[in-house]
This record gives sequence, C-alpha cells and structure tokens, in this order.
Amino acid sequence: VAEPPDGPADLWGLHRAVVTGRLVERAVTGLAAAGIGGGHHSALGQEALAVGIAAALGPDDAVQPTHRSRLQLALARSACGPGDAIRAQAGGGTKIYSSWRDRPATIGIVGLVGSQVPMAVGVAWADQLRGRPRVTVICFGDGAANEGAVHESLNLAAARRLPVVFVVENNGLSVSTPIVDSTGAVALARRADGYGMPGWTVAGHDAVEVRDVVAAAVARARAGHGPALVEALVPRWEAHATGLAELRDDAELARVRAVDGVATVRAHLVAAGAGPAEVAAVEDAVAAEVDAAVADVRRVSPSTAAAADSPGSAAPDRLSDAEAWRLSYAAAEPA
Amino acid sequence: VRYVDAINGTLHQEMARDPDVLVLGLDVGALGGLYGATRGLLDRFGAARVVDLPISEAAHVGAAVGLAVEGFRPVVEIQIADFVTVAFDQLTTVAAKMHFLSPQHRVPMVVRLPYGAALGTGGYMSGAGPHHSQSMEAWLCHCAGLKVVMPSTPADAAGLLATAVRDDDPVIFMEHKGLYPLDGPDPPPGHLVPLGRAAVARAGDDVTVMATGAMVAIAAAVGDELAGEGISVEVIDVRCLVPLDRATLVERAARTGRVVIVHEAPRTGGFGAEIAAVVADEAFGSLVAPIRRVCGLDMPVPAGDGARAVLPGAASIAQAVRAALGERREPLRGRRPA
Repeated sequence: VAEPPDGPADLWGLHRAVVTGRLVERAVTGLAAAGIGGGHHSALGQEALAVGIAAALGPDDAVQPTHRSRLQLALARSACGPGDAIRAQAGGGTKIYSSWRDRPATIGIVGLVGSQVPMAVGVAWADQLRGRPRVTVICFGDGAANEGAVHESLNLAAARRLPVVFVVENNGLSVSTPIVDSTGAVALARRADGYGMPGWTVAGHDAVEVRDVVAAAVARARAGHGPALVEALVPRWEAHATGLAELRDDAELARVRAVDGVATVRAHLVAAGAGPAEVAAVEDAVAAEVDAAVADVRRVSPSTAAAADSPGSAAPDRLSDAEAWRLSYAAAEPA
Repeated sequence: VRYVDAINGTLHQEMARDPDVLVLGLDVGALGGLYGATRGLLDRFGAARVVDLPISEAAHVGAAVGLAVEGFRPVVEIQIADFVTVAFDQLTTVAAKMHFLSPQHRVPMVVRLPYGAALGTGGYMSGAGPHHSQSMEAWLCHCAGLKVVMPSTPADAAGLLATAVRDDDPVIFMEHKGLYPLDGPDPPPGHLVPLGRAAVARAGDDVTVMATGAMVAIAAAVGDELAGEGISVEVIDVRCLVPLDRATLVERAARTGRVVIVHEAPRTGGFGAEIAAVVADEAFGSLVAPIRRVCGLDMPVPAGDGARAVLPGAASIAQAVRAALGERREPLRGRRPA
C-alpha cells in the first residue's frame, strides 16, 4: 500500500505508525528509567493521537508539539526514525525533531507549559500575511490549558481568523493533580464556544477518529475560516516523568492502560478484513527494528550516573563576555 | 520636532522602507495610540500592517516572536509600560532566549514602552499613579537576550528607533511619556543612532552626571543653574543600557573624578547601581569623591503631585552635585597603595 510522503493515511499505515510509536515510546521510557540519557516525559498511551494528527496534515503544515508529544509527532511526521529517537534519548546527539525551517516544520517548545503557544500563533499569523496555505497545529496539555498565555492565544487566533488547529492533549492530569481539581469545565472542547470557534472532543487513542476530526479542522482553517479546538482524551500510562512517583493505584492504572491505541487500530484492521497473521507480521518487523536500535545504544551508552562518575568529564571553561554575547544575540556586539 | 512626532515619523519612515515592518498594539490604528505615536499609519499602510489587538499583552509579545522568526519586524506598542509585566514571561522566556536556543533564528522585534511619571509636562498620563508611572528598565536589563534603549531627545528617539527596528534582536524601547510633548532639534533625514553609544548632553569639567531618559534634560538644566555658582557640570546621556557604553562612562568618570548617577526608577537594584559598579571597577583610581545616586525612592509612585515627593528633581540633583564637589580627596592614581 502506498503511503503519502507525510505519513500514513490508510489503516495499514496508521497501524504501522501507532505500533512504531508505541514500541519506540516503550523503549525510550525504559532507557530513561534505566538511567540512560536524561529523564523523559513518557507519552505511552497517546501514540495514536500523534499519528492521527500527522495523517491529517500535509508536508508543508507546521506543528508545535508539547514536551510529551514531541517525540511521537516527530516519528509520526517522519521527521526522525525509530533509531534516531532511541539514540537521541541515549544522548547520541541525534536531532529528534525538525525546526521551523525544515519540512515538516516543528515550532519549538519552551520549558514552561503554555508559554510557547503565542509564538506559534505568530507563525500562523505570518502565514496569513504572506498568503501561504500552511496550517499550524498547536498542541498543549489540559494543564497548560489553564495558563493565561493559552487563553490569550485562543482569543487572538479567533479574533484574526488565523489558520490554526489547537489540540488539547487531555490526559486528565497536571503532573499529579487530577483535572477535576484544575478546572470546573466539564469538557475543554466547550471552551471553544467562548472564543467563537468550533470545538470537538475526540478519542485520542483512536488514530482514525483523530485523523478525521483534525482533517476537518485543518480543511476549515486552510479555507480561511479560522481556528478550531480539538480536545483529545488520551490516557497517561506512566507517571508524569522519569523518577516521579505514581500516585494512582493499581486498579486505576489498569483502567487507564486498558485504553490502548494499538488495540484500537488493530480492531479497525480486523474489522476491515485483515488477518491476525498479517497484523502480527507488521508488528514483528517494527519490533525487530526497535529492538536492534535499543541493543545498539545499550551496548555503547553508560547510564548517566556512571558517566558523571567517570574521570575526564571536566567542567567546560568559563566563557568570555564576548562569547556570552554571541550566544545570546543575533546581531554583533558594538565594538 | 516633538519627541512623540519623532517616534511617529520614524515609524512612518521604517514602514515605508521595509514592507515587513508591522505595528501592533492597543488602539494603534484609528486612534493612533494614546499619545499619537502611531498616527496616520493605519491610513497609509493598511490594517494588515497596523493592527489593533485584543487586550492581551502576553499574546502581543509572544505572537510578535513568531512573526519575527518568520521574517517580519513587528513593533509592539505596550500602551503603558507598566502593562508589560503581564507579558514578562513572553519577553524573558520566549523572546530573549530564542536565539540562544535556536541560533538559526533571529527575533527582530521592538517593544515600545511608554514609561515614567510624566510630571509637569501637561502630557497625557501626567501623574497617573503607581500603575501608570513606573520606570521598569532595570527589570529588563537583567535578562540577557534583550536590548534596552532609553532616548532622551527627539533626535535620539528617531535615530535609536530606526536602529532598533533594523536590529536583529528583541529591543525594548523605553520612551518617556513626559518627553512626548517636548520639542527638540530635528534629526537629519534617515538618522540612525547606533546602539551602545552614550552621548555628552552637556559639556562640563567638575562633576559628571550620568542620567537616563527624562532625567537628562533636568540634569542639564541643573548644570545651567550651577554654572552661575562657578560649578561646571558635565551630563552624560546613557541612551542605551544594553549594550552599555562602558568605555565612555569610564572615560568621562575618570576625567572629572566625580560622578552623580540620576534615574527615575527606584534606587534599589536600579540601573544606576550597574553604572556605579562599572565606574568603580574601571575608574576607581581616578575618583576623588564617592559615586552618588539620585533615584526614585523605594516605593510606588504616588498619583498626582505626590509623585514629586518620590522622584528625583532639580533640587535633589543639585544637592548631590554640590555634595560630590564638597569631597576633597586625592585620587588614588599615582599614589602607592597603603
């Protein structure tokens, strides 16, 4: 089956992409837990969301991911491959996501949730001014949804009818705080009414549903009808980040982990007539690729704890004032 | 030309010169801004480039970052400088660190901050109280990645604004509300003032006053008054805080050996402390008197005439100059260390 250049569009393609996302995410989560590379905000459970978004976009569209979805969106949009992602986690210096200038374009993130959203609105504004047909998908979590910068961005995008699709990755938790303690809103998608844009809630573990709804929002935005808000309900299978305590009990975790994007896309395939052996063959092939990459990095990468103890990891020399200037500013320092 | 008209003329000039220059903010379109700084831009350049925005300064500044990285040169008017606090995260987290995090990106944007207490000039927002009168340059100077300029004359406002618009980094443009109605010599056509250059606002030989913004003219007037007493006051207009013209400050301090620093912002943590430290670091041996600071008091700016009891004025500057002259200490330079 032929795949379009930007990502999977048919069921087999969606299936392979979700399975790839799952196995890479599991590998990266495991490497981080083993102390190889830095910590990780595991996206286990929400792989299908990235795959559905990617399938709704063209190669020239832009995405701003979150700290949690950036690896999944990079994989789903083919900005990196499974091996790149795994080597990047292991500290191999591999670029795992593209920049604003690349195709597919990825708008950067910053270390405060929500703070990155206004600049992505600015990118969409630039596209509108330049008459480019690009649509920008801006992702943020249900936690960031309560930040003022996000509210201001939604309002501004609607006021100027910018070509934006906002996607809330609603996993129901802000680090450890349940959403019922974060907001009185019953459905975040209904906030869209307040901004004068349409809002939809989708099952974020169903790549097909995500693709279809995001594609409708993208088509609308591209036609000049302005932004929309898509609330994707996604399970968070793991704790917030590597090393953080899991406060949910076993029964709750079992309930959350039963919501499974891989099983869902498999069910779509079977309903469409695919045989279990065919499905398993695809999954085995992906697993072999991921396993090989993991074996590679485990062979060469000491854990960060071991690296810190090793001799020869001296602190870098202190920079000069002039070097500090050059790193901080684009324009030359006055002579 | 009046200070506000110099700014307006420069915006006209830069928008005509470069179609990527945008003007964004509250009421910058049909109204022309609260002070008239953006008058005529909407009619001339259209609503795609001169944009009235919803009241949401974080979105203004953050969206400007996206526009700037995409090749536009947005000039954001923050209606009153004090309002920039609600956009601080976008300035310090996003705009200031973009180039450091992504060296391939440039962020050519200007954030205009109408600041200060505007006393006695009859301008709009004169004596408007603690939420409409602050001088917040020091907060912004403390964040690497931002540049901060403070013109004190119409010609410098024109020349520095044109330079700021053409600069490839985020520039904070501090324009004093009290200076808006004041006249000054016209800048030459196409005037550009480089960043990082202080200016001699008044020549003198006995004491060097280093001042910013609206304090420059007041210090110069104090110099004229003290000339009658035989005191020769030099006034340096710092003009640009980041990058700072350390060489000129040190050289002028060493020449007179007596330094008085004047700014409207509160003293504690104010930019005057940085100037004092630069002078002490590099001209200590030439000083014959302690460095003195004349600043706003460490308190909110009261509304109305109450502000006069808090902000520096001619009397407090003159007092500091006389005090600096009263010191009679031999310079360290040329003496053996004790």
